[in-house]
Amino acid sequence: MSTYDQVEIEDMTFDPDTQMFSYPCPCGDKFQIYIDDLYEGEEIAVCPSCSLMIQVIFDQEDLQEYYEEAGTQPPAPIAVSA
Amino acid sequence: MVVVSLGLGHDNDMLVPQTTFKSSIKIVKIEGGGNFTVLLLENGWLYLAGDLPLELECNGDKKTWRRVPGLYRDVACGWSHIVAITVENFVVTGGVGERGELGQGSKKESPFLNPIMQIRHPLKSQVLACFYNTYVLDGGQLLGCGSNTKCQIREPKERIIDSLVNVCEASVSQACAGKNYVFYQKADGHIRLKGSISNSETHLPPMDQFSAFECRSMWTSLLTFNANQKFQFYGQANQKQDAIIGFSCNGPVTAWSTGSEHGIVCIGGKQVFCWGWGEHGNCGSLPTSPTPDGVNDRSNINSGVNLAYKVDSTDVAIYTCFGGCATSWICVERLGS
Repeated sequence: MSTYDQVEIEDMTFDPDTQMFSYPCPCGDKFQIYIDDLYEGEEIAVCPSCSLMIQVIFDQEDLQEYYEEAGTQPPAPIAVSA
Repeated sequence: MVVVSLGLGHDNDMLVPQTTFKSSIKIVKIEGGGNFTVLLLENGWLYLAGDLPLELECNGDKKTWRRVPGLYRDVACGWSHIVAITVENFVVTGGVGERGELGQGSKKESPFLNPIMQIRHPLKSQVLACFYNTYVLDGGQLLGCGSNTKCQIREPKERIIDSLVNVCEASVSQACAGKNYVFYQKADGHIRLKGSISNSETHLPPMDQFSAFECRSMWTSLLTFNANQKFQFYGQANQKQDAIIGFSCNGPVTAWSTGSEHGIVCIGGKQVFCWGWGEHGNCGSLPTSPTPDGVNDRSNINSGVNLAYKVDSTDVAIYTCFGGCATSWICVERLGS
């Protein structure tokens, strides 16, 4: 998948109320991605107003401080029965 | 004087230029922030359209041009802030700056344009801004504030620099600023790039740095234009931001500019070509895909060098052009008026 840019998570803005990371898009809107989606391995943030996407550069342990800021926990793994 | 625009800024994205501003006074600069535009007239009047938390003379409809109190000599826009030079030679900032780009210390919101510096060399001063950074060039001294996560201002990296600091110890003759970088030419001719144009590259391409050239930035690339009418490009080109390289202009370049991820060039004062990322209509319609109503049909998303506007009348000329976030502005004047 071709992305417009790669952005380190420290350069994004985290909103603890919406649990969302955002980053300016060259169209004037913002790329967005939920912290839980990042935690679960998604790394592509999309812009709601255009087709551009960015790849978020992060390690899963980077997310812990943001969960603490939001006062929440990462999603629990879903138990799969045999 | 008339300004026509393409792209964002209308109820619909427009592929065909629409008149957006008229004045009997010459327009000297148009700059775009994330969701707003500023327009500076030759007499120092500054107008703002769009959404920026700034107190204006008349807080009317955000879609209209509203006058910013005061008189100004220069202006630049970041993502959600303005930096300007007043006729009294103060650098002022206003809007929102989460990364220190207001240069007002810990203050992150400023509904008024507040002074942060006095200019010492009024005839050799200008302001630059992009994204989360502010730069001031004052008689060869280049100062900056805002985000420093890519060391675009100084080493080592910091998240926030909230007051103006020196970017370069040597005298600087010209500069331009992109998303995470500042490019400048020192008075001795040497060029330097601080920060990062893209994540993987930080070195400049071979460039004849001692010949005269102008420089402009897109968010993730750098474009220069030299006295031999030659463009050079460096940076990301996933959206054809480099399409101008190798393009044969059918006349002299009389003006050129860059937007967030597109470029604009005026040839002979009669034709305007756009290239790069044009998803919102900002690079104009393709000859093969005419749009009778002018509304963007998304037929020109990543554009080659495309004729976006032309004037046929001999008594009308295009005298300059500007770019912003997915928007192109073209300034037209009636000759002899």
